Amino acid sequence: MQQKKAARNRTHQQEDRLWEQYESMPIDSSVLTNMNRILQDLGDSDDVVIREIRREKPEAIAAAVVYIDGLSDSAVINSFISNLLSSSVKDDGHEDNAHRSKGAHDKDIVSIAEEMLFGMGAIHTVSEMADLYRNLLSGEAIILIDGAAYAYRADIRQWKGRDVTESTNQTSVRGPRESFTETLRVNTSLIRRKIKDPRLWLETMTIGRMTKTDVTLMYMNGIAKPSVIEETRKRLRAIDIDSVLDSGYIEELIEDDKYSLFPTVFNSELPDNVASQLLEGKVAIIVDGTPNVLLVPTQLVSFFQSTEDYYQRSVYASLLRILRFITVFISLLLPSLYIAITTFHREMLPASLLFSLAAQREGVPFPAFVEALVMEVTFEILREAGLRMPRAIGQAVSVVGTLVIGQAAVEAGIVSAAMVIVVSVTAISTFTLPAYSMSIPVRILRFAFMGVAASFGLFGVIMGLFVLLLHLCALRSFGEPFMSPFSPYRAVELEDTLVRLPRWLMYRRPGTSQGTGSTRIRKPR
Amino acid sequence: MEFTNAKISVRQFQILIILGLTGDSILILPTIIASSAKQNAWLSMLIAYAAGLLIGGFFAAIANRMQGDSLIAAARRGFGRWLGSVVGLLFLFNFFMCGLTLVSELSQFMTTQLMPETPVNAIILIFLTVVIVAYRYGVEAFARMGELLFPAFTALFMVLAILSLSQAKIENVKPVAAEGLWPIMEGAIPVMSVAFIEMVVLLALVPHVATNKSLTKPILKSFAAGGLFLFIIVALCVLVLGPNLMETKYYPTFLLAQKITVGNFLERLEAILAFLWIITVFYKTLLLFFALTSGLAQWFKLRDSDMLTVPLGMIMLVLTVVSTPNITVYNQIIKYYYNWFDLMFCFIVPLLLLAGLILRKKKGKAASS
Amino acid sequence: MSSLIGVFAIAAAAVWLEVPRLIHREHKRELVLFFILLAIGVALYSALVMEASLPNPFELVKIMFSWVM
Repeated sequence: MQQKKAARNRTHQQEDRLWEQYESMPIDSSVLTNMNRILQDLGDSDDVVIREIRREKPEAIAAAVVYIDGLSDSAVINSFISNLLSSSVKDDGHEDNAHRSKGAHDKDIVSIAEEMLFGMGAIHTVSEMADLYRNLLSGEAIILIDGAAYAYRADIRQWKGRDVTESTNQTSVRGPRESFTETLRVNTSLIRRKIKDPRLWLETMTIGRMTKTDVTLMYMNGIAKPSVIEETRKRLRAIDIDSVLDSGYIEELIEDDKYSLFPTVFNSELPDNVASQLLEGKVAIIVDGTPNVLLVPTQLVSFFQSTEDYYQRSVYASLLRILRFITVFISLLLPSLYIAITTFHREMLPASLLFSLAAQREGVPFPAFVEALVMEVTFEILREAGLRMPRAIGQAVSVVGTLVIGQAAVEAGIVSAAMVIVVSVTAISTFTLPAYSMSIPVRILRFAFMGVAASFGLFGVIMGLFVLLLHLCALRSFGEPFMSPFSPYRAVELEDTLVRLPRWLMYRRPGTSQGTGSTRIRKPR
Repeated sequence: MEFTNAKISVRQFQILIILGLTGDSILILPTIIASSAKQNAWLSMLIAYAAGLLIGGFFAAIANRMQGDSLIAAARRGFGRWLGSVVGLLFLFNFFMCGLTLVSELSQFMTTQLMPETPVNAIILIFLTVVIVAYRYGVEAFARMGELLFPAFTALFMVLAILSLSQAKIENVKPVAAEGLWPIMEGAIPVMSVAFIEMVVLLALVPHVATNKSLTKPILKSFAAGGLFLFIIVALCVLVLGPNLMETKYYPTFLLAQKITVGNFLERLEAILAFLWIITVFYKTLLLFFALTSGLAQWFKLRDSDMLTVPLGMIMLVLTVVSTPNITVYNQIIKYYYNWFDLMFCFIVPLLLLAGLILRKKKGKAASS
Repeated sequence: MSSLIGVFAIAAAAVWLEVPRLIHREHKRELVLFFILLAIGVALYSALVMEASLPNPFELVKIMFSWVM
């Protein structure tokens, strides 16, 4: 069994190696050979279009334009070929594509073609089959020239992509609504529109052996820390994977602590969010094919900040921030505190509350922990189902589900009313966080805390809290401590954490940037 | 575990000292002082506070002479390999015993006040497990956590203090010094030993502090702050509870928190006090465990110290359970004998170390000049 | 009886946590010390669980300083 597996792995590796060797072969100088090779390698796929440019002598085919239908702008190719032909039509007035006389025309059609190429778009050369395929399958047109051991490629990529629309996941009341799309170039242009500084630099690399996904690094040179940029580059280059279909793949492969529940890489769909973080010295990783842009390094507080905080009045934004921190506590700890107090520390409740709670729990057969567990799991099921349901039914089912199931469960005596309240408040507070990636660890840890509370009461909850805080304090994101600016304490940066100070008070750039303390807003003269 | 690679900032160092100073004192000290000084407990505290600052200066003197060495290495430097190892061993023995007292007090508090139904072994097990986890995350991590928790700790402490003021009765303080100075002094001694002298453990943190400057001011400031916390507690106990209650109840600060009522709805705030107290006990235990484990690893010249954690934890758990058969026996020993233990191991031994380091330096100077 | 199993379970967990890494790095001295301390811990814990009478460490303190009082 092991031997078969090993043998299978060997043949796969051999196949890969053969393919790589094959791909690095140079382009043949004969157009015919190249054309046949391309057709054979691509299996004669229907969407591979080859437009031949013929002549009488020496070889029948002088040149060929190869492109993938649907990925390239065929109008450009058509106009190129028609211009080419009309410029080499001879006195006999033949406009027939296939036959032209040489006649007094001294220039070969090939050289005319090479001159007119440049009207198509950005032109480069390729000399290896691997490059040829990569560019061809990215949508560029390949122009094969007879007698040359190289080919030209023209960047005339065009395909149907999603329009720049509003984001469905990250909504905002005030502020830009544009969200990224699945096309890399559109996304980089959206960011360029926000930052028109020449120091905004891009680097693109290809990741994914089969998907050959374009991944672009964007940063503000001079503001982002060189160590972070270099570390990001290093980690991206180290990725060796078959496919990259979403930034999530990359996030998993470059994050600092692969076992932690907490994300150490930030992601966003909004260009203004990305732009503002770029200006703070973060590095953006844009992946072709997904609107989710990654940002590193990140801190815990970034997940509590929403772009709207900066567009609304500072007092309002500050109150919202404080609310978010409180709701995270509620979301994480409320069920556990309820379980702990009702199981171990009943003397802590005021007498009247104690009586009503005891009355409610009278008919309930299960201990508080089981109640809470059942309700929480039910809510998780409802939430997940609501996510997958077709939009039309989604609303109705979630409302119905919540009310009906909750009400019915109380009346059946399976859970107490107080528990339904606790679980609902918990569920709602999970979603005040603007960053979805932070609500996931909270939801998971909630169950852990419930278990600890059921076993060890408040003491257990406090101990669990210590372990959680220790873990958070030990996390690093690309070299920066995850819990800064709370600890290590950087008083300068606290202006934007629990509260958002008015803009005229926030005038220093945070520590993630190269120049901590350099000004970003100057006093009006 | 790299011994001196992990670095903590001066601020984190100070916070760790403050939390360690408050440690177990915040809960057990008032009873002990009151049994000797009764209504003058606050005076005892003042005297101890002043002495505490001197002790802080003493520790700072040692800290400044350690020159980046760990405690064991400094002992060996000051006394040579053999005698220095003996001195180091004395330190480790102290840390171990001190740790035992702390875990004992925590277990007693939990079983009598907060969670009587839970078996004490389980409580100690959980507590020590979290201490071990904290150790294995590294000193940077738990120092950062201390930095995080400290503002919340201070805020909650102040809230409790201010709320209890409303019930203060100034007559509880009188008569002042009616029986002379000796009872007051007698009350000051346990404070000095339990709160201030036991903080010799800070010497284990010194090699990890990222600074080249003198540590005197930071250490003194932390001792001042920690002492202030303790003074407030003792003073409030006297003012609100009065000497009798203070002496008879085992955990007067807990009683203090229980007495707080605001407008008839904000009751049961002792949970908050329990939270604060668990934080401080946790940190003092962690510091002692840290000093013990990393010190032991250095004593044997090991390259890694993580593997010692679980066995040491087991031993501590067993000995803690054994040493607290009941609370009266424990208090007896603590009250009469443990002060001398502290005096010997947390004062005399470090004094020897200081002497050793000074002499070595002088020898070095003489040799080079 | 079950507590005794618990003791050995904890000891086994400790071994499983630490030993592979120590062997991999070939830290012999650390390995030896680990097993010595673990043996002491398991012995003590087992004694506790089986309710043998263990000496109180604070008695030691008492003895050390009884001449003062």
